[in-house]
Parts: sequence; C-alpha cells; structure tokens
Amino acid sequence: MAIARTARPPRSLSSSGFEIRRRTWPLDHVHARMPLETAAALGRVIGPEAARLAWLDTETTGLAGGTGTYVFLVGIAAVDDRDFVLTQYFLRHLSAEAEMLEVLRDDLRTFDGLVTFNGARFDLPLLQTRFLLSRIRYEFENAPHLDVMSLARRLWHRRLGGYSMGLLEQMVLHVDRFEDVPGWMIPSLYVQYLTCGNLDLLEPVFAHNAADLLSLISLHGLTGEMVTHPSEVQLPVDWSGLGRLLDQRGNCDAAAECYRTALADESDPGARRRTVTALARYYRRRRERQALLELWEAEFMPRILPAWQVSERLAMIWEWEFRVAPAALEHTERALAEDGLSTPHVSRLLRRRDRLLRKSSAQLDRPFSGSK
Amino acid sequence: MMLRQILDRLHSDPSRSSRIAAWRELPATPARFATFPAGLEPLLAKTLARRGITQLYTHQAESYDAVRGGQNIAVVTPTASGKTLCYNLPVLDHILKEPATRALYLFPTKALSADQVDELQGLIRTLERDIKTFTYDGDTPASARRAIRAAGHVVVTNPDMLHTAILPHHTKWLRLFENLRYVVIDELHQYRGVFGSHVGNVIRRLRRICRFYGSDPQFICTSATIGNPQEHAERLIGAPVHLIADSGAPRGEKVIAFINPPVLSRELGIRRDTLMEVRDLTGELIRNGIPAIVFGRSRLAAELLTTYLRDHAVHHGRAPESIQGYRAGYLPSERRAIERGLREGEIKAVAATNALELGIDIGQLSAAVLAGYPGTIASTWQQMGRAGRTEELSAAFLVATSDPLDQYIVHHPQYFFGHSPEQALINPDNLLVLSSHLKCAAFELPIGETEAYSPAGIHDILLHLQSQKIVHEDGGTWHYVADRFPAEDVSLRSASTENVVIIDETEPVPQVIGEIDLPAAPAFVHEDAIYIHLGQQYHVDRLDWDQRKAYVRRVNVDYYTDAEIAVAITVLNEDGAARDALPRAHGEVVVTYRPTIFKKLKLFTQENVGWGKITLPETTIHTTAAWWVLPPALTTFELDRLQGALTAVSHALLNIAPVYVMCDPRDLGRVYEIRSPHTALPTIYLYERAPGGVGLAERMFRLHDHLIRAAIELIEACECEAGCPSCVGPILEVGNTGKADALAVLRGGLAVPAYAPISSVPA
Repeated sequence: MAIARTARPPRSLSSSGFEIRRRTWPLDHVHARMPLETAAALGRVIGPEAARLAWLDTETTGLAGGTGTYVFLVGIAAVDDRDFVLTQYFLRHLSAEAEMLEVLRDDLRTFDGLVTFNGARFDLPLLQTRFLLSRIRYEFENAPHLDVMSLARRLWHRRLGGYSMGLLEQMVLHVDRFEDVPGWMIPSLYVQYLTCGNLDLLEPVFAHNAADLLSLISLHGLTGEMVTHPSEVQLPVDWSGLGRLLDQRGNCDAAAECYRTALADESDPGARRRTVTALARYYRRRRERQALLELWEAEFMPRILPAWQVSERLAMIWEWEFRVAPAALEHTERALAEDGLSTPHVSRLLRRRDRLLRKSSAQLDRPFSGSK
Repeated sequence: MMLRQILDRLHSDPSRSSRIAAWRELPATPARFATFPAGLEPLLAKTLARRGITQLYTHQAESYDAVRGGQNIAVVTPTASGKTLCYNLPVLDHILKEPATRALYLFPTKALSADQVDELQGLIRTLERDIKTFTYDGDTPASARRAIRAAGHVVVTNPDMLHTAILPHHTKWLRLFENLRYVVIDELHQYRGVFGSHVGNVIRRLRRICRFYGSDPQFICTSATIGNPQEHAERLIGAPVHLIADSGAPRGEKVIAFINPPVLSRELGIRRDTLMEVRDLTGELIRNGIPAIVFGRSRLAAELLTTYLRDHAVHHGRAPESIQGYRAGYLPSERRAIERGLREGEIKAVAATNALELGIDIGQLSAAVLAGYPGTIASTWQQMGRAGRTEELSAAFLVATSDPLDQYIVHHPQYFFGHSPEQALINPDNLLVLSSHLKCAAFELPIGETEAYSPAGIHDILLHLQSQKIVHEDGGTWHYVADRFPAEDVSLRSASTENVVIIDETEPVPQVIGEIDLPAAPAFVHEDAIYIHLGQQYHVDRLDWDQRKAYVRRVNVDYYTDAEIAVAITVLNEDGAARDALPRAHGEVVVTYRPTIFKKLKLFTQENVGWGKITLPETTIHTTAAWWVLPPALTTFELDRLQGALTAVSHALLNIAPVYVMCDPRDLGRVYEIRSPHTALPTIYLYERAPGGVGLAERMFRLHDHLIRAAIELIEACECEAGCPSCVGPILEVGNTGKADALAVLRGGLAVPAYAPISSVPA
C-alpha cells in the first residue's frame, strides 16, 4: 500500500448488519507525489462547485449493473478541519442494506458535491437503484457531480491506449500498489465472505477501495493542475484533448498552444484533421488570416492529411476569408487533380469549382462593369 | 365473374367438381351491437363516432365491462372482428380518466407491434390528447429510451425485451411500474410449449415487480382459436381469466372447400402438382378481380407461387406488381409496403408463408387458398380466417399435396371439421425453465422465504442455487449474489436470432435485399442456389458463412433449386436407462442437420434438370433425447413393415408426449433408425428442439409406463381403420399394417413384470 502513515488507526463502528469504518490521513500526506491537501485544492479549479466536497467509490457484487447488483462497500473521502477522512460503509449482511443506506443517505446529505471515477455510468446509478429498492428517498441528480473518468478519457485515452485507474496510476500518477486485489475478484471474495463470515478475506478489498479513493483525489488534483498551468505539464498527455478541455473552459490561448504542441507529432489523419480544424477555428475567430493560411499550407508537408483535403481547406480560406476567387479556384482545381476525383466528396468539390468559376469571371468582369 | 359464379362453376364443371373433396357452406351471421357503455369517457365515444364507430360489437362491450369490473380477460374472436378495440377501449378510457395510468402491450413479433402502434396512434391523434405510445425494442435508439421510460403511457414491446431489458432494470421504469394498470398480451396462442413456459415465468416476474411498486395490473389477452383459450391464459398469467368468445361481429357467407388435385399416375400415387393447381385456382380469382391470399407451407413454396402467379397475371394483361410475396426475410419497409398495398387494394393477391398468419392488418380479402395442409387444425382455421368479409361472400380453399397427412385430411374432412383445434400447452414449472427464471427473479428483487413464486415450490431450487453461489440466504430472504447478468443467459426462444444478410451485387453499389435466419440459410443461400425474393431470382455467387453474408446476383433462369438436409442423431451420453420389455434410455445427444445436395428443378414442370453438392458445415444442436429400443422379439417384420411400424410407434409417442410433459409438439423432434449405431437395434428417438433441452426428455423417460399406456389407449380409441394423424399417422405413411403393428409393439412393451412393484405392496 502506498499509504505511508496514518495519524490514527482504523476505527470501526459496528452495528449488527453493517459497519462503518473510519480512517484518517494528515492533510500533508503525500500520494502520487502530491500532498492530499494540495490535490484537493487544485481539484477545486475543475469542479464541481461545492462548499463541501466528497470523493466517492463503491465496491459491488458485480459489474453488470441492473437491479441485482449490490453495493456492499461505499467509500466516502472528505477533508475536515485537520484531517483527510475516509468513511467506509460496509454491508455485513445483505438484509441490513436498507439500514445502511439510510445512514449513508444522511451522510451524503452533508455534502453538496461529488467526485467519482466512472460514477456517472456506474456508481451513482447503482446507488440510486439501491436507494429505490430500499424505498429511501435520495436523488443523485440534484447534486453537482464530476466524473473524473470523462476528463481522463480526453486527456489520456489516445496517448495511453486506455484510461483505467490502474493504467493511470502506472503511467501518470506513478503509484505502485503492492498486493492489490484485482477488481474482478472482488465480487467473489464478498460472496465467499457471506458464506463463511471471515472478515479477513475482505481486508484487501477495504484497502483497494481506500487506494482507489486516494488515487481519485490525486487524479482530480492533477487535472486541476493541468488546466491551471497547461504550459508546465510534463506528463504524457493527449495535447489535443487538453486543448479541447481548455477551449471549453474559455482559455483559448492556452488551448491553441496545446493544439500546436499536439501537431508536432500527430500522425493519425483523423485526429490531425480535427486538431488542425480546432486551431484554425481559433485563428478564424481572432481574424488571423495569415496564420490560418500558413497553418493549412504547412499541412502539405507532413503528408498525413490527404493533399486534396488540404487544398480544399485552402480553397475555402481563399474563397471566404480572403475573398479571392481565382486563388480559391486554383486550389480547388488542385484538389481535384490530387485524387479529389476519387473521394466521396467529389460532387462537393465540383460544386465549389462551378461556383468559383462564376465568381472568378465576375471578379474579372467587375473592373469593366462600372464603365458601361 | 363474381366469386359466387366461380364457386358455382367449380361445382358444375365435372372435371373440376371431381376434385372437390369437401364443401361446407357457413351461413352469414348478422352483427350484434351494443351501445357505448354508460361509463365510457364521452370524448372517447365522440372520437370513435368521428371515425365512423357509433356502437360497439357485443364482444367489445363485454370486454369493456369485464375490464372495468376488474377482471382479466381473454378475447377469442375471428380475424377482423375488431379485437384491438377490446383492449384499446378500456386502456384509453382509463388513461383519459386518470392520465397517470400506464399500460404495457406485449406482441410476439416486431412486425405485429409496429402495426398495432400505428392503429393506436391513429386513434390517439383523433382524440387530440397528450397520450404517448412508444415502441421499446431492440431498434429503439438509446437516446429515446429515457423519455420512453419516464413518459410513455403505452409501452409496446415483446416478451424478450421485457425479459432482458425492462424487468432487470425495473428501477429505471419506476413511473411505468408504479402506475401499471393493464398488460395487453396479443396473440396469446403464440406463447405455447417451451417458449410459452418461459413467457409464463416472465409474467410471474413482471407481477412480482408490480407488487413491489404497489400495482396489480389486469391482463387483457387476445388469441386465435385454440382448444383451451381460458385454461391457457390462466396458466400463462397465473390468475383467473374471463373468457370472451362470443363474437358480435358480422360475418358474410363463407364457403370452405377441400380440393384434391387429380391423380396422374395411379400406380405411383402421383397427383398433379399442388402449386400448379393453386396457380390455376388463384389465377381465376385474380382474373376476376377477387383479392386473394395464398399460403405456401415453406418460403420456397411462397416464392414459387409468387413467380407462377405473376407469370399468370402478365399472361392476362395485368401488372406483375399486383401480385406480391410475403414471408420472413423481407426488409421491414417491403413488408410495410405490401401490407399497405393489400389494405388499399393495389395488390390483388399475395403469396405468403405463415408469417402473415398473425394479426397483421391487411384488410379483408375475399379468398384464401392454402397450398397444402398447414399441419394443425388451429393454423388451418387461422389461415382460412384471412379470407372473410363482414357482409359479402368469401371462400377458403385447402388444396392438398400428395403427403399422407394432406391426403388423410381431404379424405376425412370430418377429422378437420369435427375436432376442436389443438390445445396450447405450457409448463411454467418445468424445473429447468423455472430455475433459470428464479435466478432472474432473484436478480430483480430478493425472494422472500414465503413468497409464492410458483405453486411447485421453490425452496429446493433456491438451496441448489445457493450451493452454486448464485443466491445467498440472509434473514429469510434470498439475494442474488452472482457476478453475471442472468437474463442474458436465458433465451426465451430456442431459435437462434442470428441471421445471414443477403447482398445483391448486380449493380456497382451492392444492396442488402433481405435476410435469412441462420438455421435456414444452408438450404436457401448455399452457393449456386437460386434464391427467390419477391418473385425475382438471384443466383448465390458466394456464401461467406463466417461473416454471415450471402452475395447474390439478379438472374433470369427457368429453374429453381431445392436443397436436401439430412437429419441425424448421435448419442453422447446415456444419463439413465431401463431394461424392460421395451428398453429405453435418455441422455445427451447431438442432432445434426447436414445439407447434402440441391436439385435444380424446372419452373412450372418440376422437371429435374441437374443437381449440385452443398459444401457447408453441418449445423448441430446439443440437446437431450429419450429413446426406445425395439427388441427383436417385438419386431419380427420384414424391412418395409418394420419401417411402417417404427413410423407408427414414433408418431403415436409424439402425439401423446406433449400432453404428458406439457409442451408444444414443435418442441419435440423425432428420428428413428432401422438399426441404430448406438443400440444396434431399431430405435425411436424423441429429442428436444431447445438447445440443451429443458428436461422434457428425462420426463418422457420417467413417464414411460404412462406414456406407453396412453399411446395404446390413443390408438385403441381412435376410430380410424388403419391409421390417421391423431394416432399412428396416415395410412400412406405407416402402411396397412402400421396401426396393428404399433399396437402390438406397444403392448409388448408393457409386458406385466413378473413381480409387483414395491409401491403396490400393502404395508
């Protein structure tokens, strides 16, 4: 476990059917090379907006979802005055589910924002189902929620080939889990516990849940750090994805910088086209026509995007930004010559050529038209 | 000529009247009306009036009253008797009175639900009220699902979706289940046998989820004519049902005629080809502008009939488009267009398979022609019911093939007219079916110790599931604890849902023209097959079995192809055996369907003009079977007679077994071997068609004495002379000695044991 030291030993409040375990870390405890307090503060930049935030992760009897999947462990992490507090709600007996959920509900009500990893699709709908089945009124939909997985997908999927917590810990957070129980084993361990009652079986699961939450806090903080200081990011990251994230947050200059960085080594035609297009949009909004032109002209060289496509874009720029029809026509002709005829978009190119032919002759005629 | 004149000529022309094997005239019945019920929402009455309905048929009013009175109902009235109003009326009425009301409509097939939604939506549009109906099936886009779950007043779906998508996620359907007042089950008769037993359990699960949400919906069922509609409905929904079978809809006069094509060769017993006979008969109807539906027994027959009738139509100066085909495998858009064409009268005749037997609305046709006996009394009535007008005369013709069964029916019309239609049998308490649905039920809601899920008792099954770590008992309640999503492992239908897509490569841009279900694909789209789609021929250039794609090209040739499939059975494992007078066993088997050759047959003449080999992997189903070994002492016949005896005994067993193991005859298949590689003796197998089996084989094995005794009683009680479909099979199939030999074999099999069984010894 990466948990170096704990200020207080684990403590548990045990009632008959469920159990609440608390464990705390000092605020300066370092996980993923970052003090928890710093991570929590950095994370606030990216949301959600809340006065009292909780990080939440569950362990379940299955991954399939639906009504027959029990949530047997709910970990809720939060910052209090002096400590970082993890509260784990553990279901000892399935028949005590409603009892436990009621206490959990009361606890959840003390928070006004949640952070999860894949909570939007998994943990929260599942808990919602459990509340409903136990006839307990609680609506997750009302609380602000950030699913860090959606950020992770953008920032790392293309770069790392995945965005599971395990992969991110390895490649981004640099957290090693020793003797961690693999996620797929957890449901069967719990069923084993149900039949034999030996709680020791589940100690690794409690630790797994705690480790997941610590990494969630760190990842949340890290994404906050990345959007705050994009220029200082040293980690492997999908620059295009970061750019888009920044774009969404209104930080367009930083986004543009990310797109430029991304283009330095983007060799996938689809991704490259999307990134160039995003950067082009930035230039167009700022009316930097020359930069726009240079951006697309430079795309002939790497030979990643098809030449007809680059030519077509240049034709569009000449037609609509510079309004010089003959230059646009020249690029259109070039697009058609460069294999444009065999693309499915050939009719679009032909229409453009016809229009530009008309425009060109009009532009050529114009000097004389006034002297009638 | 009018239909009546055509019928008169059939009668009077000696060359044709000699073909008539039976002639029944059913008199017209006038309509019986009832006024709108007193409690009916005035807006609904007004809307119906605007659509031309100013009063109800008596059975519609009876349905409304029974439903308002809180009863479950089963409506069994003929096609086109206004059955849909029997459920739409009380449902819409209640929604108008209480807008929170929800209803669930279940249809066995997608095509049918699309049709009914159209009709319902038409009615709602005229109402001008915000009543939402949605179809929830595999084609529903994910984006629309949320809205359907929250806001649909009427959710239209099928049992499969209910089973895998709705019930296991019932919390997402909170609004539906809290307010569910009505469950409509259309085409109740479809839910029989193993499929029906599964659906019965899906309904049990539905009802317990409703109880959880505090609702207790009423069931409104409709069914085609079957022998036991009320009993069947009650078993399926697990509650008392009020039967409404007295139709108030008017019926015009109807003539039913059995036609037997003339004998061409008495020695060989060959009759004129049924399809040609049907073509001539239907051609005459078409020439005279009488809309007709023709039923073929197979997809190939339907396509050949389409081809022949089109050819005939063109000969007589009519547009080929006025003749259409209709069968499984057409694109949904094609089907819709054909249905519309029939309703609106642009299409004069359709050659269909039983895909059109269902309640798909094609308007009212004047004549139905059945090319061959469909196999059961019930489906014969259903197909004949497709012709029927409210006032005018209609006619239904059954044109026999040379098959023994067909010949029996036309020679013994009383067998058809005198017997009630077959019963629909289900057994929701079948151990395997029950336990697989118990898993799903536990997944959906924990099962209480005292919960009455099934009258069969479930405690032992739950204990067994606990030992497999699927459920866990805690505090008197059984909780689902396995990792898997159970509904995905339980398929309601034994037929695979996979299919082969048929791609036409005639034009530069390939086009999907249809599809075919996987089990049927080897026979229809093997390489060099002529695949016929809507009367157009296609040559199959290539069948990519792995990709499930057949590449075809439009051709125009004068032949079609017919494939032969060999069925064989291999015993894998004997789970139990008994060595009595009639040794028997049950166990695991593999049934193999091996496409062997295809014949090229000339259109119209059926002349054999060539053949080819089919090289395709055989399809196998791993299932269970029960088998009986005929010891030499019982079968001292020569080969021909032995074959007849085996056919007869297996036929009798197949006739009696479904009643004892509560399944549909289609759930079982039979194979017999003159000399079985497994037993080295003449052997009869009855195998389960559901992959893996659901325990029917073992039950047949255990019920042995009852089964044999029942078979003997069946044969003894049968009034036929030497064999008929009800006992050992038609005489042409079993031979003159078949019936007597079967009796002898079965009686020998019951040889009284030398000692009394222990159970009969007084304590």
